[in-house]
Parts: sequence; C-alpha cells; structure tokens
Amino acid sequence: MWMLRGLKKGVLTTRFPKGEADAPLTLRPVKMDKCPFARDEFSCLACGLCEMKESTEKIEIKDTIPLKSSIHIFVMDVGSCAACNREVSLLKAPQYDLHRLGLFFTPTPKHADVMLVLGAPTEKMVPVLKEAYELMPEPKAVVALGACANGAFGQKVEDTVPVSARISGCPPQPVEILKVLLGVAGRWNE
Amino acid sequence: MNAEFVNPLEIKRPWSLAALFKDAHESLYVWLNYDTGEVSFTRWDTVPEELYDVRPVARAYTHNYALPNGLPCSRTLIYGPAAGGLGEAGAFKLQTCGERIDALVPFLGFKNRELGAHIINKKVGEALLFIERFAGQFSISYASLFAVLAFSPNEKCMQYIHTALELERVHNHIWVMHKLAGDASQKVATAHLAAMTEELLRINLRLLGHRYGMGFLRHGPREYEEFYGKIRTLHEEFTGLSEELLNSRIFIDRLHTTCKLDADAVLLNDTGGIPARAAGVARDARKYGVLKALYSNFVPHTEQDGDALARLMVRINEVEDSLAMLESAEWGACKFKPANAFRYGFIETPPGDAFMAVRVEDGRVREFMLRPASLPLYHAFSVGIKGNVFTDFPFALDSFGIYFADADSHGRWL
Repeated sequence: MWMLRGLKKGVLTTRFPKGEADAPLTLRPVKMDKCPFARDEFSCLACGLCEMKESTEKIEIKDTIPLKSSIHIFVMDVGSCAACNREVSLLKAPQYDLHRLGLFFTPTPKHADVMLVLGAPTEKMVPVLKEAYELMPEPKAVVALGACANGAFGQKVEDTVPVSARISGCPPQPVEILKVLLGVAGRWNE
Repeated sequence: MNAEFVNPLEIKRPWSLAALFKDAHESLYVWLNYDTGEVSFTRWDTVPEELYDVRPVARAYTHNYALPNGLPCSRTLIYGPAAGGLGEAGAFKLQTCGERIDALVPFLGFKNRELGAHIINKKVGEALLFIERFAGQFSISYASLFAVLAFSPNEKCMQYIHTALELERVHNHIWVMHKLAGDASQKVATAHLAAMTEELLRINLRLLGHRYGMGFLRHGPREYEEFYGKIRTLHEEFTGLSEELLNSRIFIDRLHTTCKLDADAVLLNDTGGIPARAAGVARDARKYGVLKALYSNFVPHTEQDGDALARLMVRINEVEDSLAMLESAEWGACKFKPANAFRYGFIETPPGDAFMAVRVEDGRVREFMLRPASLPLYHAFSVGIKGNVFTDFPFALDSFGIYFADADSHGRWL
C-alpha cells in the first residue's frame, strides 16, 4: 500500500540545481535603506514594515572548499527560534531530497565539512560554537544561516568563528539553503 | 492587576499553578481554574520549598531542578546542548541505571535570547515583530494572543486569525507525526509526512505571506484561489496516511506505554494541553482562552492511556477537525487599534496552553509576561520518562512536540 501511495503521488523532487526551483518565493524588502530597525540585507527579518516583494534570498559566498563529491553537514543551533531548524530538517523531504546531491547530515563536528549555524549566538552557546569549530577537520566551512545568525538581534556568528558563507532569511527556505551549501562546495553560483 | 499577598501554599485545587514569575524581591503567581477559566494573581516574597512538593511544576518556572540520590548502579550524564539527536540547543540531565532512565531533569537556558526585553517601550506594532520570534513553530499563536490583548482586531480579522491558527496546528501536528515515524524507522511514512508538512508551509506562504506565519497580520491575507482545493487534497491524503500508519504494529508498539502520564500525574503536575487530553483530562484553552468565542461548542478530543500513542491519537483527531474547518474557512483583512490597558489570557498553541499578559500605555508596551507552552510540558516529559529505557527517549520527547526556544522565552519584563 505504501508503494501504491508513492506511485500515485509521483515525483515531487525539485529540478534544482539542474532546473528552476519550483517553491514559491519569500517576501523580501524592495529597499533596505528605510528599515525601522536599521537591519542590513542579511539581518533583515522581513517584518513587513517596509515595501516587500517576492524574491530569492541574499547569498554571499566568501570562500569555497574543494569538495566535489559528498559533503557532511553538522547543524549547530546557537539560539534560533526553531524555524531555521525545521527548514534544515526539511532538506530531507521529498521536495528537496538533499542526498541526491551528495549532501549528508552528521551528528558530530568531527566528521563535518560544513557547519550550518542557526540563530543568534547566546552567551551559553558561544563557547560550544567555538569548541565545535575547533573539532572540525580541515578543509572546513561555516555557513551563517538566516537573519539571526547574521546579527538580527545583535550578536553575529562571524564575531565568534570565521564564516565562509552567509544567507539571509527569516528563515531561509530549504531550496535557498541548498544553494548556499552547493555554493560553498563550488557547485552553484548565481 | 490586582495581586493579593497570599502564601501560595494556601491556594488549593481546583486552582492550578499556570505561571510563576520570580524576581529578586517578590514572586508573582498566576493561577488558573481549568473548569471555569478564571485567572487569579497572587504575590509572595519567596517560593516556599514545600511548594515544590505540592506544585511540582513550580520547578519548571524557577529552574529549580536537582537529580535525586540514585541507586548504587546509577550514572549521571548530560545530553546536549549540541547533540544531534535533540535538534535544538537544549539539554537534559539524566540519571540511568543500565538502560533504564531513573530520573531526568530539563537543563534549560541555552537559548535564552531575552527577546522580551526588546519589547518593552516599543510601539505595539514593532513589539509584534519580536513576539512572532519567540518560537517559530508557534509564531501564529503568540502573535494572535498578543493581537487580541494589545489591539482590538475586527471580526473579519478574527476569522483570519482562526484560519491561521488551524494552519499552524495542522503543520505542527503532522511534523510531530513525521518525527515519530522517523524514530520508528518508518522511512516511507516519514517521507510522506515531510512532504505534507512542506506542502502546508507553502500554503502558509501563499496565504499568510510567510511559511511559519511570521508577520501574517501585516502580510496577509493574500489572494490564493487554490487554497480550498489544496486543503481538500491534503485532508484526503492525511486520512488515508494516518489510517495506514496506525495499522503498522511496529510503529504502534514503540509508542504504546511509552512515557506514560496518567490523569493523577496530570492533575498533580498542573499539566495542560495534549498530554492532559491524552490522559482523559479535557484541558484546552480553546474552551477558556481569549479566543473561546471562535470555538463555540468546542469539545476537546481525549484519550485515556496517557502514553505517546494516546498523544498521537489526540493529534490525529485534531488534524482531522482542523482540516475540516479549513475546508470552509472564511477571512477578511485586519484592522487594529492599540488598546491602552492591562490584559492577560491563554491560548492553545499546538502542544498546549500558553499564558501572556501585556500592559499597553500610549500605544507602547510597558509590561510583558509570557509563560510559554513548552515550559510546563518539558516538566511533564521529565515526569513521564521515569522508568522508561533509553531507546524510548526519542519517542517520548517527540510525542510532546515542544521546543527549547519556546521554553527559554519564559519571563516577565517591565
């Protein structure tokens, strides 16, 4: 019965990165210069207090790591509202299926190539973040994921550990997270 | 707020301790009568040690947990805050004897972002931005509760709030089912439920303007013609999927008798929400909360066993009800006026009730209190998990559908 159910639903997986991402776009500000909270493009909370339009997230890739096959990702929550956590978990949903791209989660930083950091670093999590970063083998990359990790509430991830890539969003959608993960591996660019 | 100076030990049941805000000089106690929906505030200069015996949930509100003296074979470990299995920055202190969990206490505070402090003296519209971010999964619940307390939404807006709340309930409950199916290695069911969650979040984005409803009162409601068709398809799919899942003996065996919280434990620990309803205690803020007018003739679904399976059954029934409501939901645009007053109340978030109090003066927030839904439920989890084996841990925890981000948002700010 499970098999029949699957056949009935058909293929749900996005054609991204070979084709266009089919997920609906997020609302983002048209201009950042009128932000009442003085946030920048990466720390914008998309609150709706300025003019908004449907758009993709802002992604910045500073460094890439030379990994062409599989990439192991350690997810480090340092103070999120748990929405970013859900978006990261949904990378395993059939619509995104990150394993087809050679991306895998690992429960330990010792086996990780990329650390995805979620949330505004809290006082108690800063030392944990530093320790996790030290445990990662070289070559390694840190992605500051979402507005909170990029200073929406003051503290930024890059104040604690070197950051290879940043992505905006509150939270960024799974397909945008795929872009930044492939971006740090040098397998995607805008 | 009229808070009498009363020793909390003198307050007897049916009053439940719904919240406790402790500061250096005085503690504020919030009492709820679940039968009548009455709320009462009291003050006392301390939290008496005996209170933890008669109102064990007070430990959750004061973070006053300690592991008991264990058996000679007992070992203590701290699980978290970066452990992959928890999925969030939070931890538990566990006392185990072999595989058996003899005691567990929540170890909170890793996600304490002090968002409440950002709200004070902000205009109500700006404060809403922070309230939506206490817990992303319950963003709509908290924003709705704040909107009702700090603004006076019009009738069409209340219908929109109702729709948004049910969308939030459905995607959270289905996500809990997804996690439970994943814990039991039901890979195909897990994938179907994850796909359904993603579909619901896309519906949220198209109707509310955000996948988790953050800013839904500002962004939405947006034009979305396919809404009813999508909901009908999801409803049909969910009914078939849940029936099939409940026919899986492997799945049910892992949930049955796991993390059992019976009616007596619910009453002793002042537990509400899904764990209470799963134990046959019909506590639901849709009956007594600030939005009770939206839920006229509402009868909560209950089960009797109080285990992880009973909590799942309650969730399945609630998803069925919510989807049926959404199939014919109507809504309109929101108009607000800040209400200069001190107001308080409860709302039923997906896992349980949450309490909020707001004082608005000159259109600005001057006082704010939040007792999040997850905080007393972590306490309930710590009660139910005793005597279970470690392999039951993920089933037990995931059956509550709670978040550290939410629990760490507890506080009172002036």
